[in-house]
Amino acid sequence: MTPENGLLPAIVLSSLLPGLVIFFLPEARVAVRTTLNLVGAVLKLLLVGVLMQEVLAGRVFENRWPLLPGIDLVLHADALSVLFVTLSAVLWLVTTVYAIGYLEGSPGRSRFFGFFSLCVTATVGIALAGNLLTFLLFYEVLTLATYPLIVHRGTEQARRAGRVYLFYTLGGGALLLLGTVGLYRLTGTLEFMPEGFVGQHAEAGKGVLSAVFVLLVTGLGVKAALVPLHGWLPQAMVAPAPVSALLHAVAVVKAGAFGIVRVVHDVFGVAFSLSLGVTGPLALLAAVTIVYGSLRALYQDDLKRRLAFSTVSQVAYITLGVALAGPVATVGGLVHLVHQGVMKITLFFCAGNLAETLGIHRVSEMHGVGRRMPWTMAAFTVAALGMIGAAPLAGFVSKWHLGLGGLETGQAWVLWVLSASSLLNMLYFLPILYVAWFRPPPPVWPQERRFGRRETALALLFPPLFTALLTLLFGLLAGAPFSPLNWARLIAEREYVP
Amino acid sequence: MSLSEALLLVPLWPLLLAWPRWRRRGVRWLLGFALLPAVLALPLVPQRLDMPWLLFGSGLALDGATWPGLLGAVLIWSLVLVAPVGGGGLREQYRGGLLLALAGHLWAVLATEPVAFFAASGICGYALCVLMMRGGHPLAVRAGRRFLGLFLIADLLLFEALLLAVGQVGSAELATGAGSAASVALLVAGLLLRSALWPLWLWVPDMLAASRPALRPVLIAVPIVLGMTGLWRWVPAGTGAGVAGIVLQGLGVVGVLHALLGAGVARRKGGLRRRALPLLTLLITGLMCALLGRGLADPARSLLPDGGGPWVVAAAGVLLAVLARWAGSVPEGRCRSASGWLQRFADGLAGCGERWQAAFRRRWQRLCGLFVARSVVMAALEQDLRRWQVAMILFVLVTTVLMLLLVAGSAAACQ
Amino acid sequence: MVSWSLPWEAVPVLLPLTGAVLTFLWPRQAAAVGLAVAAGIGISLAALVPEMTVGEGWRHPVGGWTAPLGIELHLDALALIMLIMTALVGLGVSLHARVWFHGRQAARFWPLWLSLWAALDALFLAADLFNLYVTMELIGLSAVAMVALAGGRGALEGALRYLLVSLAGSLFYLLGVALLFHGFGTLDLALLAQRADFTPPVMIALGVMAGGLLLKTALFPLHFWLPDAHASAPAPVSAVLSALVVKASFYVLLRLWLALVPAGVAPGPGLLLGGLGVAAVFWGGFQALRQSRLKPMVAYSTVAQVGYLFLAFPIATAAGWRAAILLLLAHALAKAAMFLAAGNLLRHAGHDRIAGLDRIPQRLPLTITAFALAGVSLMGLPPSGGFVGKWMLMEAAMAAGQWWWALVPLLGGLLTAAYVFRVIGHAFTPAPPGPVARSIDSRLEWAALSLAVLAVLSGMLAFWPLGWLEGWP
Repeated sequence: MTPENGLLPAIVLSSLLPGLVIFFLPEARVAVRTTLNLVGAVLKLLLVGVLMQEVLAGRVFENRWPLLPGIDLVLHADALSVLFVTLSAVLWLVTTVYAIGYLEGSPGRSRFFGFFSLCVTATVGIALAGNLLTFLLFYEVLTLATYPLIVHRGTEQARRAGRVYLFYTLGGGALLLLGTVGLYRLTGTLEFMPEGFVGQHAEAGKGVLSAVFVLLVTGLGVKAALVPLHGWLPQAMVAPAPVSALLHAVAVVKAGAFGIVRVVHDVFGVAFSLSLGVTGPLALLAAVTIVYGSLRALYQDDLKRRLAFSTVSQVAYITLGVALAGPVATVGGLVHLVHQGVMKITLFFCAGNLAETLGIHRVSEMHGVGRRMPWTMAAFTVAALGMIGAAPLAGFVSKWHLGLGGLETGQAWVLWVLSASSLLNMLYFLPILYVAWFRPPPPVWPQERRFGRRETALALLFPPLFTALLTLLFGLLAGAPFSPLNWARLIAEREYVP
Repeated sequence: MSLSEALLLVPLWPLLLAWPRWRRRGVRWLLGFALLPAVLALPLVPQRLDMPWLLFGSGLALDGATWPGLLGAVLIWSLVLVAPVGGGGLREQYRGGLLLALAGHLWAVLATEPVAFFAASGICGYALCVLMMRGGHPLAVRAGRRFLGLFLIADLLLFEALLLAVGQVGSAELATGAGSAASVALLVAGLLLRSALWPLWLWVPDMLAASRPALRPVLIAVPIVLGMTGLWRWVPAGTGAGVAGIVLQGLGVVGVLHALLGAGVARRKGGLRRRALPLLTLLITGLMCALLGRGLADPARSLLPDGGGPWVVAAAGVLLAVLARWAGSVPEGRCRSASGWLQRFADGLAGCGERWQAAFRRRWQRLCGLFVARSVVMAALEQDLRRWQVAMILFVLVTTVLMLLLVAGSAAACQ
Repeated sequence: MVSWSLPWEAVPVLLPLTGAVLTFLWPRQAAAVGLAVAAGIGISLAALVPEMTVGEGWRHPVGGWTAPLGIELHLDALALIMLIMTALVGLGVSLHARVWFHGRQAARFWPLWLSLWAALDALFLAADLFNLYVTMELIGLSAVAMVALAGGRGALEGALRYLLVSLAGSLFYLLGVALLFHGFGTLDLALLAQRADFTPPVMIALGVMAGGLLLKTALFPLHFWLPDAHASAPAPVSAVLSALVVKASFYVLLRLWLALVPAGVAPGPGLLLGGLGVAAVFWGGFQALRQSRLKPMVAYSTVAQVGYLFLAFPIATAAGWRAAILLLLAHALAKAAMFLAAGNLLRHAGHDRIAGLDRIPQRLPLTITAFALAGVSLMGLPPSGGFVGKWMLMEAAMAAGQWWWALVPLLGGLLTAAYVFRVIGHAFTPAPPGPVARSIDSRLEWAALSLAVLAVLSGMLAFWPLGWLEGWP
């Protein structure tokens, strides 16, 4: 196996192998487990860095394995894959550090980290999938790998959340499978191509192809939490904070959104989707999700549930960007994939810190927290302002491009949606910031743990600060060469061949 | 490092100094130290630093248009450094907000394109809002909330305006291109909301009453200055500017009139002392508005000299700052909570949502109940299937049907 | 057709038969003999695999007497796949049974198991109807005896019911054989395929034989005997029954159908079988959901999975048959693993009430992993063999223009997920496991786990047997 051939499998294996080993480690071997986790994460990051350089230079990476008669298992790296895989690799490292600190002393850590690694393996597989079958394969593996993480605590509530999660995601997977098989019958191939393969190969009528599109998007929309398929997401908040962070920022919802991007760009092709007339309803659905998610978030008192509905709303931005079907809108949607991941993971890390250090789970308990945990709340503030779209943070950049994209494609109603969403975001984030910073703290916190002179453990403090810093840098330095914005522009360039 | 790169230090230095570890020295010393690069940069006209990696491509420029702004900023912020009569230092809790606001202000006056200006004035505004609410005084908190509300709406409007303008003009150099009416309207509205012009100067009296004298120059003058700077620099030329100018003129004149009328009324009622400062503020801003509006509406008949707009703004800002600093304390007014209706609205929404959720859950239970009932029926059926008689009858039945179908089917095939 | 002097293909029959005799005579070494047999079969199959080419395979006349007078052994791609499936499941079960059974039970188990294995292999290699009948009878008798091994009233009742059903099915089959022999004078399948002319007598014979075979394969509504028999048998026996014995009669039905049913037949018979298959999928799934004990739940799962196999009949294309074979293979591995895992849980806990499983799976992490992986294959989730089979079935349905059959595996998969995750959910509990009640030998766990891992990986390796099936039937 030459170095070229080995890069993509190595990226996948760099989390699979440590995960499998971790499963068999006894609970007490903390050092070995931590080392394995971190080594795997760092190794993956390095490999992904190499991949990024090569793809920028225009090299092509592909690996094939025969799976079914006529269709192979394909790993393929293009610019879009690199975007998602880089996000996954960076955030996995950060979340691993956080999880090590968070689960200090809890039972079942070997099992947890084993499934954690499997989860990231599946995500990377989704990112590097070269055809719809490979995508589907890793998509379902992701469902299976995340279920044990959700029910990790084993309480009745956790198990119920797991059942709801499976109900939604397995159902979505079934729809996706049906759509994929149908598509294969209609077109004879499933390989992702820059302008989609359906337009060139399909002889079927527009009605059938639209139906297949609806099937695919519905199957993917379950994970991407499009209304009304979002019901599992607030329930899944019962999982430990690192799981929520990973699920909501990197793995599951992003996989769904990424899948929708792939379907519109590399399966159907933007031009063909426009001619089918499916992008309009999809944009409308995304807009409804954006507003609905924000509305529901307004009257949640539980902090993580509020953040969950915020995720529902924000991930729909990605779908909106793709559905507007213009280069600038695509840039906005793709860059929001990265930005929302970084911002949301910060918020969840901070929520986890609050729960872990002070026993705070509700917004009404957060009075005066800013004085007790200033660094955590500073990170929360930065991320919340980013979500609102305050310049010069990351969220502003994505909203800017989405708005411009809407204007460019003649769908100016997008501006209304963006404004409404910003307004609603302000309404549910700013009160949190206000009570945290400007109200006096209660005499005693619900369940306080002291960490010496620091506000909380180092492993819990650095990850949110790091990602908050990323939020700031991604916005401020958006014009810099390796910013997510420029990478998204590269993807759009390569997609919209003139 | 060349001189133009040194320009980067002007907004960056206060930002670096905001790092919480620099606790040793007093806040005033730190503020003065932060102002140093700005002061040093003043003689170094003209400079330009292009930063394509910043935001969507931006830069800092110190030229004829921005120099007055920088000078005004330095002067306004120096007023904070002057210790009040009778001692009293600035508490540590104001440090971060002050430095952040200073950084934002300096960046905003030096920005070369509107997106950077928007970002910088946003930073400044949020930091000022935090400063306003820091003290805990109810009036200050109320003022801060009103300011924040207006500021956020302004943010939204400005965002829309910039998008529309850039979408139509094609680049961020708004002042040269012809913006559409909608974008201009939004731009003007947004910038007005940020400044304390009539009729949106609600928060000024409360702020003057409740804030510490040392902070007042910053809290009053800076938002006004930034709003006005934005109006002068970024409203696109052409008919849009004309309309904006007329509107500004009108508002300015009305503001002046309100101030004078208010002074008359207050004198009659005997509360002139109390209302003097806010009304003076209104007077100054009104005058400034009228002048600028005239200049925008009809550059030929403007009362300002060429390139005089920024000077007017800077001068007005410094005047306001001086007034705010030394006009003495103002007795408090009443404090009413205006947020009751907002709370009731939110509660109403929450109640609605809960009822809707409960109804949905009931329907879902009923559906699952159907399934449970069926399962009892199924259990009975399965038991029946196990009885020998039933099983054997079914067996013979299936075999017979299969046979018949095969016979019929193959007969059809053979023909 | 090549006749070989050293009948490698007879080894899978002769070796277990010899082993059965040996274990009967020397019960102390029974387990060792059993494992040696398993290893030997593995080696012989490994020798056969490289020789496998696409085509008719080999025919070996026993004793030099060719058909129509003599008996021939026929090894083609399908038979080889069946043999390999039996060998793999047999190896896993043997490893498990070696530790599971002790003393007298072991002395009775091994001869029965090895004779069952010999009969299975002989059935897969058989090329004529009477041979098939004889081997089916042998399988039935051995299986019934193994079910009764556990002792106790439930096991004996289940065994008795199974015996009666097996005899009834074989009776009908024999009736059909007699009719065909009377009509054509030969019992060789290949010759019958050439000579049969689709007249009503032939179809009646086929119908009668198919009915008997449906009873033995436990297709809905003739499945009534399966849950009792499979649930009350000891764990390795249940594994063999669900994984292999049920498939034997399906294999016979498949061979008969392909030989005797004309190409242009009306959709009627296929629709009937497909319809019953759909009913089996949903009925088995719902009943499995309702069960309060683990082993009956797994048994009903078998009822459901058998239904999938019958979806190939209405589709009646080569792709459909291949999909059914793949599903059969994947199910064999997965179901065996699942039964072994269930047996481990039962032995450890002393009961197999699902509701009472709280905290028990945590002490047997390998077992619950085996159960989960087996469930993954049964649900048809990638990358398992179940997924590949499901995909091929759906694709075949759409290719044949009957896309509605494609919905059945999807919905059935969701139903399977419901009852599998009901059990797996119990592996996650808030409290740490209490003191250990009765630990089990880890070799039992590893046997279950290796079969389960094989089931999951079989999807990635499916291209291999699919390559042999190119051009079949």
